[in-house]
Amino acid sequence: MRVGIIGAGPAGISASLVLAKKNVQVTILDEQPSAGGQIYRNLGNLSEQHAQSLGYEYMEGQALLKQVEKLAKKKLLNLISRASVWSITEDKEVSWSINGQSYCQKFDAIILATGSIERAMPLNGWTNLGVMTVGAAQILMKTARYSPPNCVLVGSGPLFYLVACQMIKMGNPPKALLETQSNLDLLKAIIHLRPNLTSLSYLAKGLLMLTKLRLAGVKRIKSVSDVRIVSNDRAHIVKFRKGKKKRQIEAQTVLLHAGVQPNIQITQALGIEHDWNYNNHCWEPHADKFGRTSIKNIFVAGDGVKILGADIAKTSGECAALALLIDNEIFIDNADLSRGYRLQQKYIQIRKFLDVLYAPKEWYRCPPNDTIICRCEEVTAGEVRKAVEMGCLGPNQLKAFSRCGMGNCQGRYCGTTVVNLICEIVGQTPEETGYFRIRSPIKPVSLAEVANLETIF
Amino acid sequence: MHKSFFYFEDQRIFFEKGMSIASALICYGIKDFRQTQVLNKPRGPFCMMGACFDCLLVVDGIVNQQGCMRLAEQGIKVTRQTPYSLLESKL
Repeated sequence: MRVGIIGAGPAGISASLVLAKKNVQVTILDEQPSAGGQIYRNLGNLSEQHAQSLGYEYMEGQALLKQVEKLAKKKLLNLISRASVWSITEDKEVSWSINGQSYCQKFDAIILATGSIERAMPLNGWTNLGVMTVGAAQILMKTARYSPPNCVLVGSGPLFYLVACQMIKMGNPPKALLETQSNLDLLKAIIHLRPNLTSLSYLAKGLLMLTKLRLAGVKRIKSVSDVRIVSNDRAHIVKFRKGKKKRQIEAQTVLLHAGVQPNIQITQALGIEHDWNYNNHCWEPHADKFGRTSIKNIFVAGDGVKILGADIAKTSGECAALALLIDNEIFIDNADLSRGYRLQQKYIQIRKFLDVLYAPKEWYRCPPNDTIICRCEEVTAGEVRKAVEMGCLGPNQLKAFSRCGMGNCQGRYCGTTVVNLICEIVGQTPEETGYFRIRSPIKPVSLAEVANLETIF
Repeated sequence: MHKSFFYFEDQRIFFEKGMSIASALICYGIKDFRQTQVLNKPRGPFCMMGACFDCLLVVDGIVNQQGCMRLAEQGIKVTRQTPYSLLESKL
């Protein structure tokens, strides 16, 4: 049996380890230069000192990477890096591109572990040079030991604080954190806390990060809204509202973060059903608790299904692999499966707290008319509102009205905003609104490359 | 320490092994990667993980190369991407 795994993050790697132990032929396709996903990005190539400066949770990935490396060396699994998957069919035929050459292979089963992307935070000036995501800054720290100077971070969420702390450790503390959540959000969230060990250890981690920020003297401004960024050649002025007061702060780099959402490009292209998550305000592929989708032998795992973080992504990857083995009668043991499921439930409890505390705010979920929401085709929220008022029925017709979602990123960064805007104007639910129809190729690929497609048997 | 370099327009950009073209350029303070097709505004890296396609560059004459996904390589010629480079492209 041949299994293809898309994504070499914690979920993909964990799934591959379970399968390789049962002598299943595994091929992992990953887009980055080395395995680890964004969470353990470049960990295998860093000096001990550099890796340590990014924190112990990052270092924890080493065990996972060593195992996959060992198996790859013994040829017990096939890890293909720098492979951009651009098509997957229902028949489990996968096409990918490496450095201008495309390959195609048919598998018996597929596990999709494509992780998450950062939620768009469309605000005036977010397309300006030197405005990036918080995740982008972390990737720069992990891959180039570079931490942008004189940063102002705008947003909220666990990654938001983690990256701020990593910047401190790299000797380059951020100038200020403009936080979108308020004390009222904290009160609303606290009632969802359950006194179990998982929740408490999560809370302890969070409080430790906040303490580090305080000790480093990083200014934190809460309840920030209506942020606009005005930029010139040298610097940015971040204008914002706190309560009724208008304030501003200068910065060299502005980093945005509004939480993360599953990367649904492949699951959408496959036509798998998606559910709207009303807590995290995003689409999630519809799957059973072990990652089985509506297509037989296509599984989903990790943050690509539900945002629960790296630890649970490992369990989720293992669950999907076990479900795959059980469905194909290679291995039958339900005990491991139910253990994995119980563990996931504990994380879901703490997630509710985080989702409520850092819920995306109305002011950027449905931004004002002059804000660009589609970065590629430079379509504003106003143009979307006008199209809907003229009778545009949904995200797909919006493409014909405005080209919104038709650029290179294929709706990755405007899709959720479009759903929010249409819901707001028409007064309907996300389920009624639907989503862009995503089609392969899900990564741009030249016609010559498709013509020269090499099939692997 | 730095040995390898590539060209950005006429400038030599030195980099360490394993760095992407985009991260090497950002280390030099270069943020303007391309000119947008609709409003002709300068645009640069945003997500750094291959999702947003804002860091598109021309690499060795081939357009639409994601700067954050392509590893920096010795001697390659990288230029800003404008709407016109799409017309002049080899592909």
